[in-house]
Amino acid sequence: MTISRRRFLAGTGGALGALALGPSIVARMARADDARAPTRLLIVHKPAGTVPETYDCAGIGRDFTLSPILEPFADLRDHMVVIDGLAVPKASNTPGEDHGNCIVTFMTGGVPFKPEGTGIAVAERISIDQILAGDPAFSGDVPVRSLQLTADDRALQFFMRILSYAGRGLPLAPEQDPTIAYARVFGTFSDGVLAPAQVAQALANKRSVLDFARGDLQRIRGQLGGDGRERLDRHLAAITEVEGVLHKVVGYDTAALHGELLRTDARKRDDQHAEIGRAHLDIVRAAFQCDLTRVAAFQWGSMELDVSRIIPGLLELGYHSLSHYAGAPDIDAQLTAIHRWYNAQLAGFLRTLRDTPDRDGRSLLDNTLVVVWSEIRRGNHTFDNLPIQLFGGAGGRLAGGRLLRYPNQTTNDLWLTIGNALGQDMTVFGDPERCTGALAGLFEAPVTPA
Amino acid sequence: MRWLPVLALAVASCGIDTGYDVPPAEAVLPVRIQLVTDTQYANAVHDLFGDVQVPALRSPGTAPDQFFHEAVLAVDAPLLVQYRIAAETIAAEIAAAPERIGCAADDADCMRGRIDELAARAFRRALVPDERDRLAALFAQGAAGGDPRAGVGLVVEAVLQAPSFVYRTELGRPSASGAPQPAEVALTSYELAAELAFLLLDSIPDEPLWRAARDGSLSDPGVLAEQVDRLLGSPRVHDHLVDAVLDWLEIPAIFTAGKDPAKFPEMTPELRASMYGETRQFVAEVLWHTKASLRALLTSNESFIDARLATLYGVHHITASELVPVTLDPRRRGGILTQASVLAQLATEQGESIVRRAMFIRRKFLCAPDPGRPPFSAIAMVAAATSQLSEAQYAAFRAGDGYCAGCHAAIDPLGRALHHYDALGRWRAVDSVGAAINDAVTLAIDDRERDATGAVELGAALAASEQVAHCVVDQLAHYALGRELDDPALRAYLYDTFDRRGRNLIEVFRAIATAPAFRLRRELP
Repeated sequence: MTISRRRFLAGTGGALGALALGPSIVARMARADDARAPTRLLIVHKPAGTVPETYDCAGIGRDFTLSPILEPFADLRDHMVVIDGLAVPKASNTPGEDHGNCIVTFMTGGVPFKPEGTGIAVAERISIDQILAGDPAFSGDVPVRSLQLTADDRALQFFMRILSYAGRGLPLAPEQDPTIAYARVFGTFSDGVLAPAQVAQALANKRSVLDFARGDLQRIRGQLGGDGRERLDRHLAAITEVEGVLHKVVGYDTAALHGELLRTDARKRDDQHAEIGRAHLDIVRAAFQCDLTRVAAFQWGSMELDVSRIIPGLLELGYHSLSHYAGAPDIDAQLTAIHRWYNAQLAGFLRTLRDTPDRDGRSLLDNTLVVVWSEIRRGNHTFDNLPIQLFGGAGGRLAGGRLLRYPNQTTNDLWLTIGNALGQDMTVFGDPERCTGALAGLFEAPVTPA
Repeated sequence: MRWLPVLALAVASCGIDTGYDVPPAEAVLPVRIQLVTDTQYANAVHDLFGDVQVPALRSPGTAPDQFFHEAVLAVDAPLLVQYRIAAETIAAEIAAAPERIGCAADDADCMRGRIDELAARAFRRALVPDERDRLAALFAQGAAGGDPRAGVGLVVEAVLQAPSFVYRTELGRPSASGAPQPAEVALTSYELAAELAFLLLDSIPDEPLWRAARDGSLSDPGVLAEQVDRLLGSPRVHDHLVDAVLDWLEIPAIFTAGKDPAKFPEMTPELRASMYGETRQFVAEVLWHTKASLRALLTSNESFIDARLATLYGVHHITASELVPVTLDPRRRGGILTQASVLAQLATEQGESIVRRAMFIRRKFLCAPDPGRPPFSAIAMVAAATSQLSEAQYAAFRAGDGYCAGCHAAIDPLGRALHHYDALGRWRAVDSVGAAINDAVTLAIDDRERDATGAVELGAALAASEQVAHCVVDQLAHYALGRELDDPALRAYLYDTFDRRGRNLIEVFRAIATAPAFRLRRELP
């Protein structure tokens, strides 16, 4: 199977333009003799809820009408499942406040705690993406177990900008700078500008540097007991990841992709919000396409977004402040405009997934499950009936074009159902008392299989 | 919640000799590793190599104005990638100009000879036996193409990514294998030098500390105390501790505090810089020239203003474009809470905020528990009745409403005492709706009530309070120890020392650095 460069470029769109992968990477992919394609998971978080009056859709099942906020997904309706009714099982008397609390609870199924001697709240439990990232049956031998990315890492509190937890009290902080994220996935010298002999030498040098670090780390680890070792083990895993990337990526020509990224400047995040967000999403797409990772979590930002700069005509109020006034008609109109703007950005990315062929002949979107959510329903802090949408075919497991309603179930049930569909042998996700059982009928094969 | 035990101790130590003038002899911190902050990384690189470009790091726990550096963070892949990029960039710069490490461009012997010392300085310790060989092998590998500079580059790249560079190790002497683990270990003289350097220089040890680490003399408490005294007299430490106090009080936030430009056109970047500059110079003066007392921080009307601030403060005889010393009207200004850098950031984009000012004082000076935000249903319920009210009227409404008063009775008086200042910190006779200002309040401090009128009396009341003194010590100790201060004996010793030494902020740092808790660690079970 071959993938033409034209086909890649045909998928460009959005503010930045999709990142084109160079010919050698395409050639490498074409040589992959395994024609089966893996399933990928992308989690997308947009903070501070929605406007129910302009978000909720009329209808049910296959017979529903997209609301104004979801209208930017009109041409993706067949790849989309709208999920209504789920509550985030937040507890009231936990450390921190509502937003961060609900982010932790949504992602891990349990409430946060404060580790001894620290002033910050973090999760007790592992997050869903890390369960899948850590499962070889799902993640295979990809070098990057998972990606954590954000378009804006400002946050009132630490845990508002953390989606992923490797385990109890082990936050995985996201990267804000696309050029760093790129270097994580594609290495720091993978532009294809080195001659083959230089590549071999450069590779040997990088390996020696990493070997030195590993030896040093193991010496310190031997002297340290207890919890400290867990942190060093994560450092060790990061070194292993870098080595895996070196091994797998050297020789890929990603110069075009890198060149595009250099146009973003994370220091100008107020003015380049769309560009930075799209750059991260395009890195995810490239990483999925090259099978360098299968799990990614992306946050548009936490609460401190200043979207008035990017959408003309908005009040000079932060997104978070604005959301607190939800309910007033003029504010709701502005919030609706903001949500439509975000959804248009995401739709642009989803279209490139739809237009990117995977190695099995289906599209990348067909082989991916994208879960889009917010941690609350309305800006006045209500926690039931969260706005959640799924996109993609999850590898032929999920039929689109539906609206499903589960008024008495929780987001833990959603992850249980998704976990099961993606091969996880689990009967409960998160806090068992807050998990009521799988969501009936969510995963059913598409009517016309690809 | 957090200050209750503090109060209990305050009562116990009231005015009598408590016996806390000797620091407790026990270890309170566990053996541990701490990640260096982004600033420490950059400072260390500059101390090693001079004025090289250090790519901006952005590790998850070290946002610019984060005072406490939390220990749950690890070097996960995103941070490791940042370290790699930084190391590769710096290594390339050193390789291009080996004179930075004192060698001519073609002098391979010189470069080879400099490696061990560079690595030891970077790691803040003696090299372990096989490390010399590994570094030599790296140099040889890099230089294999015939250019010794590439060898230096590869060594620098490896050293700056090594865990020994990015972690502060507080492990003590490794116990001989097979020997029963002691419950307590002493930091090595190298580790002690590094801890002292990171605390007071925000970097790796300077030359005198490094010598005292190498010859082991630093393990002698007398030598340690001399080094602490020396460092506390050095301009670089003065600068760093001023920045630490500014970070504690979140003063850098004045550069980004949101202000509606239509309403406050005078809030220019230049004015923000003047506001920051005033407080920086004021804190420097307080720390290093006026006995460093908490009282001066909260009450002194000796400050530094330029023409821009003079306009804001209504001091018309100052026309200088740079900050100059000034004695401000003692009825209107006294202490850091009356400075524009504080008042203007504790506001909304549209106006002054009684609640934000009050919550700041509660967090920074009273360590009062955070009651959390009111539920939105409660705000919605009063929205119609309060939407047209001025700040003062809204506060009066909260005081009169049984539900709101549940929390706000304890919160609002602190902010109301500052109501003579507008959203930029200007003194005003009447408020934004032309109403006379009532800033006579009843404060609940030290578990009792006292009356105060206005900012100056508020500052004096805070300066006299035990609760405030303890709260300040708790926060400085959290910063200095990298962990919440939860050991009762060490706490009591620090409170007592602070009190006996005129509530001198610098003395908290001296007391911590010279206490056994600074040089001892508990073994983990």
